[in-house]
Amino acid sequence: MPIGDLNVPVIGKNVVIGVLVQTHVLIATFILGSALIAPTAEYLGMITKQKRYERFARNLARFIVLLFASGGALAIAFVLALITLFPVFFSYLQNIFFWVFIFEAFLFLGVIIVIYAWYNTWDKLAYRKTVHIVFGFVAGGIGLIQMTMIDVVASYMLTPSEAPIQDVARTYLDPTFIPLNMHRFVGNFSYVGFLIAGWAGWRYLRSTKEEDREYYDWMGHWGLLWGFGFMLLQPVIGYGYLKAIREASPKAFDVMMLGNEAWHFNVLMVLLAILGISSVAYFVHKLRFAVKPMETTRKITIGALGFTALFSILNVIPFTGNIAPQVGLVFGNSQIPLGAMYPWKFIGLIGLMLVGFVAVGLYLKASATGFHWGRASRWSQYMLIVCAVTIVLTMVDMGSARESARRLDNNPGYLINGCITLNQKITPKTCPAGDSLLKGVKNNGGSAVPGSSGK
Amino acid sequence: MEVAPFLALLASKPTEPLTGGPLNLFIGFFLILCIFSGALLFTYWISKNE
Repeated sequence: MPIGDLNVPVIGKNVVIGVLVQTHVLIATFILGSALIAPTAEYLGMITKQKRYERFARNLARFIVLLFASGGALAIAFVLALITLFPVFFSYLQNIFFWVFIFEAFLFLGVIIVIYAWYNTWDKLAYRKTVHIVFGFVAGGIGLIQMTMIDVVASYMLTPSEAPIQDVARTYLDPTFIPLNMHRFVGNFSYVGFLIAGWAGWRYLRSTKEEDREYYDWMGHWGLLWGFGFMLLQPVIGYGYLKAIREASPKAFDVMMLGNEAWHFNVLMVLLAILGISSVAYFVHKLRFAVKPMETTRKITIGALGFTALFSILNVIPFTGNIAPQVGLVFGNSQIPLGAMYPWKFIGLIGLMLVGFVAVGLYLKASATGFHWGRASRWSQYMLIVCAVTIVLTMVDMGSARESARRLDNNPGYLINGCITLNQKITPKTCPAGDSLLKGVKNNGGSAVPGSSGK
Repeated sequence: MEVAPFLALLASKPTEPLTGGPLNLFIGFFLILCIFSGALLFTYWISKNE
């Protein structure tokens, strides 16, 4: 049966896949993180008897139940687009990850059933709260396993295992699978936390009732603790992830950190600077409203803000002036000493983390005695909104960096690194899995898609 | 309304991000933000009356 080489006018088929997948990921990550944060809030509501936790958990649960439809529709749309636009690639992918995809499909069903049941039994299980909370955590847990399954595919595409594809276990445990999973697990909390904080900031600014102002002020604080707290772990986990990429696919690492795609990391450092400075500035502001006055703690946090800015500036300095030649952002090719990874970026990132831990620690100490809620200034809420927008940009930027790393120098770029090119040509000689890819494949062994155009 | 330019645009050869020009990158980025914010706003709209 002939396979068509379809394309999409104007933007090309790669952009179609990129747009559908990235949008799906932004929604799915929100659901995954929320499905663990909401039961946590529900649990805290049960043990502290503070109603705002319950209100928050229930509202978030309703939101993710409704948002699930959009996320699911985009997932189906992108799989359909993948089958239509990259049929040979998808066929091989299905062949390699048959069990993973089967498991993923049933997990999808499982998470839908449990998450809907969790929300729907909120009142029915009001007097069996522990059971209801467990329901929520089970939903979050299934979502987490679902993410794990798809991480296998995503990590394999960048760093395929050096094992025949028939070896299910070794194929599953490719070199970057665990670091990617850790990176995403922590990132889910951080992403959702910042979005919750941004939403709270927006609602706070629009609220007129005192009760609502208190609630949204608290919600901004609660979201930012998740967002900034978990973000502080990301540089270490991200470093581990990049180290694994460098060991398994050095060329992809070079493209991502030194080559055409290195601008993603320059952008990341700018975004990280915005997140760090905005968050610590919010803490400084909030400490003014501590129930028990903490002037010394506030002054130390002001110092932490200064150091956050200093380390952020160090991180933002690029390695060379040749930042993004694709858009003409070139300020010469000479190297900038302060832009080197060693020691400056290490100092910058480790410093940012340590200062961040100090700031969060002091803030948590103050929050133990409580804050006067509902008195936050407008600009502190703008900080939260800025954090929410910035974290979305960070997600898109980092997703794009990982996927673009497989393009190498585009001669050829790969869909599965070293194994299947962007034109869906199978390259067993350069594939870590060797010719096991072609085992049992008839009629299309090593040939490109009929009528395939491009490089 | 002149349709020829639109037809010509639709018939034009697709380009790839960064190799064919950064314009596609920006288009993709813009589309992601549009669809994502659209989904969030729609979800908020259908949830706020409960």
